[in-house]
Amino acid sequence: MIMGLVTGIVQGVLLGGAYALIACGLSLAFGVMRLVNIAHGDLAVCGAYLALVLATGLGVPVAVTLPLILPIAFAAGVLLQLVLFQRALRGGVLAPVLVTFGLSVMIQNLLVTGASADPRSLDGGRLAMAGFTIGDLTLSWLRVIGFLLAVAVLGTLHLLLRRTAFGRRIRATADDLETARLVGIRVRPVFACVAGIAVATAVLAGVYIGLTATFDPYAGGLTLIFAFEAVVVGGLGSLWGTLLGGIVLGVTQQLVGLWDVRFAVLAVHVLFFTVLVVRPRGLLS
Amino acid sequence: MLELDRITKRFGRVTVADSLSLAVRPGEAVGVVGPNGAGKTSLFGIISGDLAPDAGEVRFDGRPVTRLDASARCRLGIGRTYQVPRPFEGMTVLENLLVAAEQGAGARGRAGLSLAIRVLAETGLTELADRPAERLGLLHRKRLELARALSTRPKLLLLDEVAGGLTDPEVTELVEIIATARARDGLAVIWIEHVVRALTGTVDRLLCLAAGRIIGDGRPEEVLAAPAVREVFLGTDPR
Amino acid sequence: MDTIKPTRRAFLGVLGTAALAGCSSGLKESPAGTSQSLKIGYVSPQTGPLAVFGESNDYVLGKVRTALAKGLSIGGKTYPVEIVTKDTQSNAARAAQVAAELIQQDKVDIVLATSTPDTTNPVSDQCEAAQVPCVATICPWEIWATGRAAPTYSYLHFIGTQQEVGVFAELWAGLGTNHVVGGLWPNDTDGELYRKFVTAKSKELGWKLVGSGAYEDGAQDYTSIISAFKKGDVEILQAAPIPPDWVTFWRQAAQNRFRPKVVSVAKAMLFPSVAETLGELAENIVAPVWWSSGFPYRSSLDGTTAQAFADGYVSGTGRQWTPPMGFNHALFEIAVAAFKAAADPKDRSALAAAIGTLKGQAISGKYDFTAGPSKNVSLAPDLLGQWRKAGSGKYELVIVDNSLDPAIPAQGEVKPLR
Repeated sequence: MIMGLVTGIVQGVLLGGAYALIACGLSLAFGVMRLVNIAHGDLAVCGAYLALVLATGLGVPVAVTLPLILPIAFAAGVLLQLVLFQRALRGGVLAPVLVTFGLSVMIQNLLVTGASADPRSLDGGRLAMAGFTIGDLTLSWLRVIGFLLAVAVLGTLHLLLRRTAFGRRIRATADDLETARLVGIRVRPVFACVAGIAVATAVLAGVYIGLTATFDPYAGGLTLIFAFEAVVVGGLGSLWGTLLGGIVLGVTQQLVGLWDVRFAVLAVHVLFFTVLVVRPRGLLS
Repeated sequence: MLELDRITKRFGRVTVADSLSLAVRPGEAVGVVGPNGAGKTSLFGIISGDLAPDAGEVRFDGRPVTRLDASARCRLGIGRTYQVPRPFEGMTVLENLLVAAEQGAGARGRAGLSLAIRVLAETGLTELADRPAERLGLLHRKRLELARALSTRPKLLLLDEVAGGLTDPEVTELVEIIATARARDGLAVIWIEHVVRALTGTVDRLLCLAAGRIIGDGRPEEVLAAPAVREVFLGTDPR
Repeated sequence: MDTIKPTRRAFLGVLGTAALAGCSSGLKESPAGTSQSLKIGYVSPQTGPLAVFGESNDYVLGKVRTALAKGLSIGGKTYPVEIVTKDTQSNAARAAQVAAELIQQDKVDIVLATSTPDTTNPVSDQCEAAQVPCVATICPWEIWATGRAAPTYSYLHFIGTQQEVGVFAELWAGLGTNHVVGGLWPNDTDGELYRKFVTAKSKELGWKLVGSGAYEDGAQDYTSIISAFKKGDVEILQAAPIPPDWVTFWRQAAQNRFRPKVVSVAKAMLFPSVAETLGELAENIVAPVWWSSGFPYRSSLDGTTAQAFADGYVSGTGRQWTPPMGFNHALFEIAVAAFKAAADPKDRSALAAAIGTLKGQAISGKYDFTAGPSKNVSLAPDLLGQWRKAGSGKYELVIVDNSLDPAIPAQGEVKPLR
C-alpha cells in the first residue's frame, strides 16, 4: 500500500514534468501577450512530424534533429506572430481564440493530407525503451529525462526573464504594454521573440510526446487540454506555477488511477474545475 | 525643439485639441493649467505618441514624428509620467529604471546600470531599489514615475500632475528633484498641474488650455491675471 | 477494350485499372443511369482517426468498378452499375447523415457500410428506417446485433468477439504460463465486449484475471495500470485498445519492464503501420486475422486471388495491404450476388430478402446468411497470427492458428514472447 503510494507520487511528479513541458510555452504566451493559443498542441504535433521526417530522411537519431528543428520552430513562431497573432491581438479578447482555433483546424487538415491519419511515433533508440529500478520502484529513463528537461527549460526561461535585459523587456511588456512603449521598448520584436520561444518549447514538447507516446494529426487537442489545465491550476502566466500545476495534475492522475483507472483523467478535470472555482487565479498567485 | 502645428483631436463630439499650435524651446519649462476636460492630458498623449491626432503635425528636433509610436518618440527623447503612476508592478524599483535606461536611453549593460543607480540616488529611491513596485506607497510611486521618465534620459519631459495628492513638504522635494535634473541636463519640461503654486516658482512660461484651445500663454503671473483665464476658472482664484 | 477477357483483368496493373475506372465513370452520365441502373452506396471512414480503415478504398473501388464496367446481366437484361461513395469523417452522426443522403438524394438500391460500430450501426439503423437493403462489415456481430430491433433490411458479415476470445484461450492454453490474464480494456464498446467475454472465459477455465479498469481512450499515461499488472504477475495480456493507445501502452510497458509471455491484441494490431511504429516491440504480438493475402479465396466478380489482390495494392501504392481490403471487396461481391438472386433487383424488399438466402464465397472467404448466430448475421471465421519481421525488413502477420478454417494454410508456429 505504502509502496503503491510512493510509486504513484513519483510517477505522478515525473508525468507532471511532461505536462509542464508542454504547458510552459502556453503560459509564456498568455503571460506576456495575453494570447490564448488554441493551436499550441497542434504546433507541438507539427514538431513531432518534423522530427520524424528529418530523423528518417537524414537517418540520424531524433535528438540530433533538435538543433535543426528548434530554430525552425522559433522562426515559425516569429512568423506566426507577425502575420497572424499580432493582428488577432488587436481584435479584442475573442479574436485570438478564434484565429488560433482556425489555425488548429488548418494544421490538422494539412497534416492529414500530408501525412495520413496513421498514428506515428518517434524512435528514441535503446534509451527510450529502457527503465531502471530503485528498490521496488521501476522508472522509465525517458520520463526522468522529460522531467529534467521541463525543469531545465523552465529554469532557463526563469533566468532569461529575471537576469537579462531581454527578460526585463519581456516582463515590462507583459506588465503594462503602454508604459512599456513609454519607456522606449519596441513591443513588436518582443512579442515576436516570445511567440518564437513559445513555439520552440511547444515543438520540443511535441518531440518528447512523440518519443513517449504516439501522435496523429488530431493529437494536438488532447495535448492542449492537459497543458491548458496545468497553466490554469498553477496560476496564469506563472512559469513555476505551471510546473506546480503539471505536478499536481500528474500526481492526482496517478493516485486516482491506483484506486480506479476509470476516474484518473476525470479526476484531473474535476481538480481543474475546482481550482477554477475556488482559486480562479491558480495556486501560485 | 517641440512644435505642434494645427493639431486637432476629437472624441465624438468633444474636442480636446482645436487646431492647436505650440512651440517649446530647448531647456524651457512650460506649465499647463486649465479646467477639467480642457484637453491637458490628451495634449500629452498627442506629444508622447499615445494618441494619434485627427489632423496636424507634431515635430520634434525639427523632424516630423506624427507617425512614430510612443516607443520611437521615447527613444528620440520625449519622456512622460502618468497622472496615476503606472510602474511595472511585478518588477523591482531598480528593474523599472533599468529597463527604461536600457530601452529609452539606449544605455546597455554597465552604462544602463550606472544611469539607473544615479537616478535612484537623485530621486531618493536608493534604499527601495530592490522593493517590488507593487509594494510602494503613493509618494514613492510618484517618485518612481518621475525616476522612470528620467531614466530614459529625455530632452523633453512631460509631467502630468506629479504633485497631486502629496503634502506640501513632499511637493517641495519633488520640485527640487526636477529642478536639479533640469539644471544638470538642460531638459525642457512641460508640466500639467492643478496645484498651481507648485508651478509658479519653477516654470518660465504658463499655458492655459480650455476646450482644446490655448487661451493664455506667457509669464505665469500675467497669464493668471488675464480676464479670459479668470473667466474659465469661473471666478475661483487659480492662485 | 472488348478484347480484354474478364479473366485477364485480374492481372492488370494499376494503370489499366485507372483507365477502366475512367470508362466506368462515363456511365454515370448516360441517360440509362436514371432508372435502369443499379446504384450501390458505400459508406466508410476516409478521413479522421479511423481513416486507416478506408485507406485502401480507392484501390478496392477501382477493382470493383473495373469488374462491373460492363454492367450486370440479370434475367436477360443488362443493368449498368453505379457506385456512390460517402465519407463518415470517423463520426457516427455523420455516418447516419450520409446514409440518409444516399437513400433520399442518390436513391441507391443498396447501401454498404464498413469499419467500426460507428459506421455500421448508424448506417444500418438508417436503412432499416427507410426500408433500404444494407450489408455491413468490420464490426463484431455482437455489437451490431445487440441493442437494436431485429433487423429486416440490414445484414452483417463479420467475425464475433466471443468466438475470437475462444480462439485466444486455446492458444494461451497451449503455452506454459501461470494462468494469470491481464486485461487492457478501454471505456468503449470494444473494451466492454472483450471485458465481458474474457472475464467469462477465464472464470470458465478457473484462471486469475487482473483487469485494467475502463480507462479513457486517448490516455497518455499507463504507469498505474502497468504497476497493477506487474503486481498481479500477469503472464497473459489481452488488450483491445485503439491503435495509438496500444503503441503508447506497449512502449511504457517496455520502459517499466513489464513483459508478459503472450500478448493478444485485438483491434490495434490489425494494421501493419502500427507494427512498423512499434518496431522490435511488435515481434510476436498475437493478433486476430480475419483476412490476409494468404487466404486461398478468389473474387467472385473476376476471379482475382487474394494474393493478386493484395499484390496489386502493394505495387500500386507502395503501402502494405490491410485486412479491411478483403472484407470491403466482399461487400460488393455480396451485393452483386444479391442483385442476381433477387427476382427484381430494383425491388428493395425482394433484394433485402435475397441477401438472407445467400450462401457463397468471396475474396474474404465463405459467407452464409442462412445460418448465422443471430438474425441477418453471417459469421466469418477468425484466425490468429503473430507479427514477425519478414525478410523484406517489414513486419508481417504470420498465420499461426487456423482451427476455425483449416482450408486456410497456417504459415508458422506460435511462439511465446519470452
